[in-house]
Amino acid sequence: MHQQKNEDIIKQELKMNGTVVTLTYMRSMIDSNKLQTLFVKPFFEIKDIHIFHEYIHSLMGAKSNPTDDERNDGLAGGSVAVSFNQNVTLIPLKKDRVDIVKESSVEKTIQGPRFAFTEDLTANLNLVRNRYQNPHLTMDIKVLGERSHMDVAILYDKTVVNPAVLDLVVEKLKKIKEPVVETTEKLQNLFSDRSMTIFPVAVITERPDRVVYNIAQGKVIVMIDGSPFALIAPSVFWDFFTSMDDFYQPYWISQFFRFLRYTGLLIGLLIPALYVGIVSYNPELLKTELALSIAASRQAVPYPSYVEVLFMLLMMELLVEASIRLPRSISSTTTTVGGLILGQAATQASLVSTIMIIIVSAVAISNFCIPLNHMSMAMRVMKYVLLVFGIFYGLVGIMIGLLLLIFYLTSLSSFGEPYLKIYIQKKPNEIKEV
Amino acid sequence: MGNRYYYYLIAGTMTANVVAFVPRILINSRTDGMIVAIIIGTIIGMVLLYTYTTLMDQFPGKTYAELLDLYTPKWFSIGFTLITASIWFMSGLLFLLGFTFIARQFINPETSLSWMLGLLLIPLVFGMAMDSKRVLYATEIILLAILPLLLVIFIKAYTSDELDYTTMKIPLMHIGSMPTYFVIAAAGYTYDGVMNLAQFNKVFTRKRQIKYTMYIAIAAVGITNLLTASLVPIGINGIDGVGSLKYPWIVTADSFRIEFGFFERILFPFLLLLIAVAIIVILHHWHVSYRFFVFTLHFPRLKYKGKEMMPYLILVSFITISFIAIQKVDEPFIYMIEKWWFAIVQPAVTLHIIVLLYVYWRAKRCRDV
Repeated sequence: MHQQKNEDIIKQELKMNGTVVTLTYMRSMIDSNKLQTLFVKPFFEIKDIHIFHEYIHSLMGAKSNPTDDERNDGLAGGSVAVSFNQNVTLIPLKKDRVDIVKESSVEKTIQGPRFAFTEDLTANLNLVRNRYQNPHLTMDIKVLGERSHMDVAILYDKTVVNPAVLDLVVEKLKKIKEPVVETTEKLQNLFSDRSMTIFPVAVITERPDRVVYNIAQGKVIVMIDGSPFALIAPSVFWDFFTSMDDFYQPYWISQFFRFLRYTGLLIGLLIPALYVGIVSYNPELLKTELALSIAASRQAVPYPSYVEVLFMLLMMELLVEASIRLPRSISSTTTTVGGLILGQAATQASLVSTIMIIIVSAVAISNFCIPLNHMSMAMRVMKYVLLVFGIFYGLVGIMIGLLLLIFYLTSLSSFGEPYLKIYIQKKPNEIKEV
Repeated sequence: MGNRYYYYLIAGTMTANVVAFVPRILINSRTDGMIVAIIIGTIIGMVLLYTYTTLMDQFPGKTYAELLDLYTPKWFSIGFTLITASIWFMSGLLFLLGFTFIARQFINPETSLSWMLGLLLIPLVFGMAMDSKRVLYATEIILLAILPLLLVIFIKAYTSDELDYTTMKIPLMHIGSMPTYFVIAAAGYTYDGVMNLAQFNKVFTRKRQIKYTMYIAIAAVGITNLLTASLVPIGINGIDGVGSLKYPWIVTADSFRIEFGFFERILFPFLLLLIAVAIIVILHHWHVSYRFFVFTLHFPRLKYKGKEMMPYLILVSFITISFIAIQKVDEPFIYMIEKWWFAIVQPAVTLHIIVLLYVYWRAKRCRDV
């Protein structure tokens, strides 16, 4: 079992003429300026330990001789414990954070908490502790990066965490020999067992509420100083399709949104491949009217369906890529121009069929329904793999491609936890069985 | 692992046999003892299933090959494991060849057989080398996605206007005649999915303890499955017309239309789903076979860059044999082999169980002493 010492806790000793006063506090939670002016300075100004004791007692919110539980809870909540001659006094000294914390921009919710992580580790820890005021929330600081020596924080609730996962995270961190680890995304890639991967094996999030939710579930959180994202280990396939909104909506509404996301996933993955498979291999599958209307709209198009699909998908990807990279003021121009060219002109020049336009837009929209960006990117690439199966084998190829995708996903592991499996009977620690 | 994975092993084989060769063999004897064959086949199948499950349950977390290795002389354990592995490989191969023909004939007629076989081999080769547990996870996902859709198609069949219940009763009138052994063996074969426990028992590290009601449920589902597989094509195509069909269920599925939807012909979704189930079943067989071969054939000298080469050689030989086989066979031949295969497999499986009984007896004696 990994050691459970909490390096966040500081014991500061004030000494004068042989009397010792110990201040115990949690570094990330308290205001160090206030600590200086309220405790350290008066201690040396008052010079009489009994008067100092009286002074401490008269501070706002002071509580003398708390029980052990009260003391631990107080420390986790941002108080300072002043001990002197077996006397312990607890004084709240929580840091008021008004700077740098910004609204989330990557993972938005409609009615969830607004703030996202910042690029400062202490501030991020403060955000987490503010939402999870529990003395069992434990933090380890490790140093990562052979050259950059960045602080990496491992956070977990020691009462619910799966020790096997925790050990694995620490062990994997030790093994990393990268000179510079800038972000948690890079860390996520380094964590993976294979060198070439496509699917993310850990959720990367910028939302403190998601992190807190996962800590309570017994997961391990890894944060790097300088990166506004936290890594959640282990994560399974289904985690990538949850949005924090799901927990803030009524049951059926969140179920509906979940259903929408999986439908979006299937549409984004399958529609281009199915178009090729049906148009070029098995048009008889469709209703006669529908088959005829597709054939009619393809009448003027001079080349096979797969050229059409690849051309339009490529255009769409370029458009997406360009609008991400460009500054905001120019990117609207790209979308307008791209939209016009792709939408209207391409069909009129009979480069592509009208139905193809609908398909490409459906693919583009549905791909972005996946709440976590990493998974959405992976699926964006996977649709080409299925498309290749569709081009060479038609409908059977798509079916086999899907099976292969499922086999591949089930063969992956995230920190020992099987990546894709159906959870019917709830068992929290499946890792022991793997 | 949960008991539910045990049922997936059985459900896969049952479902996949709806399309392949079992219905044709059953229907060919529709006026001489089909119903009796289904009943006797079910009884034999269930007895084997029950015995095998209970025996394997005595050794949680052990595979058949490991048991042989522990409790029988070395020459026997190696020989019998190899024979078992070959039987399992052959079962999978025949299924694979059959479905290659089906996929080519009904979905992609322009594709060549080898090209189609190559496609079906991709997920198999990937899946075979996976961990047994992961194979079962994949099985669960695929079966849970597919079985409800298949159920809809079966319900559609039973509620179809074209289904003639009077015709379906004709086989019942011939209940007095005795079926041939081939038909009984074919009916019994649908229960043989449980034999994959030979390897998959490894993941059941706790005792399964299947309740008697569950065995009754398995038998009920099995009989329903066999009756659906044989009687619905008779009811749709007529008692005489059905005899000339090579794949009765495929033609039957093609006689339904969905009126309100994107697609009209049920045949395509039906076949695609069944091909997926078939791949799962072949994967189960070949996974067992592959693991047994790897377990027995150890050649530490055959190494390349510190990795043992034998598993890869086994994979390559699986692929090669499949490609050679598809060149040599045609459809009537496959049907004939499959018919004989069903007949051979039942005694083979019985022998397999008898050996396991011996192992159980040895193990018990060892524990007592």
